Amino acid sequence: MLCFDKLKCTINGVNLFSGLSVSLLPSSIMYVLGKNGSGKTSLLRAAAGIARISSGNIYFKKNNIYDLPKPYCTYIGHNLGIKQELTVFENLKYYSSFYNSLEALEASIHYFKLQKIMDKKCYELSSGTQKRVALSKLLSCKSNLWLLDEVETNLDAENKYLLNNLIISKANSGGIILISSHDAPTIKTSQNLLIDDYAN
Amino acid sequence: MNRLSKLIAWEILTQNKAYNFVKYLFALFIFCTLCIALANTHENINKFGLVFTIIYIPVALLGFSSHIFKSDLDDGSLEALLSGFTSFEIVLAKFAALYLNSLLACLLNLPVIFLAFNPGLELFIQLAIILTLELFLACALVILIGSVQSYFRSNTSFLPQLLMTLMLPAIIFSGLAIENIDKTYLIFILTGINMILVPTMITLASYLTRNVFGCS
Repeated sequence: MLCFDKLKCTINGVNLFSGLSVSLLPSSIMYVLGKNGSGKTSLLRAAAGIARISSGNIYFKKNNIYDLPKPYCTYIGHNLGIKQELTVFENLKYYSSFYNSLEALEASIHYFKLQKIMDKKCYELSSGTQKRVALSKLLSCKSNLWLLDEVETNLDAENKYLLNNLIISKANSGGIILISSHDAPTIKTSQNLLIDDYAN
Repeated sequence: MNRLSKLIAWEILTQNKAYNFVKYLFALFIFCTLCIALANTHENINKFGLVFTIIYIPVALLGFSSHIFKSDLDDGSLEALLSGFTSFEIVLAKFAALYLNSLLACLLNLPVIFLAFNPGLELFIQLAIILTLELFLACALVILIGSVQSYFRSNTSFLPQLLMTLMLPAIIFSGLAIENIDKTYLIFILTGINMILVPTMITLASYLTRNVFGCS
């Protein structure tokens, strides 16, 4: 279970949100919706343990996330976190080795059809293909919590379909998925978080 | 420990494949060594050559500070790493990778120094020990500068020059150790300076990295 308890986030004196309390059970998919600068990315970063929140607590599996050994989640941000000068294979291999899940590397390569570009440097790839490389980390880096920050940007219809299938199958196997988005959700979910409701 | 070694391997790979760090540093070292050898008279080369060496080798590293964290911040790698590792592990891995790379470049340059400056075996060994210690401090300083640059984001281009003053005690004692080869206690003083400054810099860099994305 992922639990946000009375979260407050202030950046450079601007209060983005406060009093945000939400719980997500296993097998949950939740979209975080809101306008630009409303704190979607900050919320996801806080859940990933990347950013410190101004006040409040985040619990995952009944533990405060700051007490959990890392890595406990897979985070795909705005910036994709792939080194442009390295090859696709080098990027994926190292990230999956950080999660001790090298056995899942081949499956992730096949799922997003990256076989033919494994030896290419990432700067040679289009934005959409780079996004596919980043998304393949979802399979190659095993965790039960996925935090996805506007991941559908630059994806074509086929890859959106692949991504949505992957998210649904992860949820079916007990995972928790938190997705931030500007647009209307493409997956039907029981709960969405309108972060603008928590703005002051 | 196993995960940390993987992270160090990743950093070594990144620093070399993305920024050609060892090649860049080795080329710079060779250039400086040859310039000093050609610009000085034969009588002075033995003394001045080694003194200049202990100044330019650590200073050469400072140009690399903007690649340490800033590029990771820009391409999202820092976020990805922070979701998988603690900030202390990241800083430690970057420091270890930077130290190993710069030490390799320095070791490759040592035979050239020996040929160019002809210091004699005892002084040459002393120089190698001093450079090993100096690079240790210089790498920690580069990591600190890189983390400060990524934390404050703007108006930080003068930081390397400003924080370079932290190298002064080490450079002074290194110079004294080169001049007075019989006074081995100077090496221990240099080690002591490292033992105080390096953990402080690593801790500070770790704190800044943890709060790069923080809410206030």
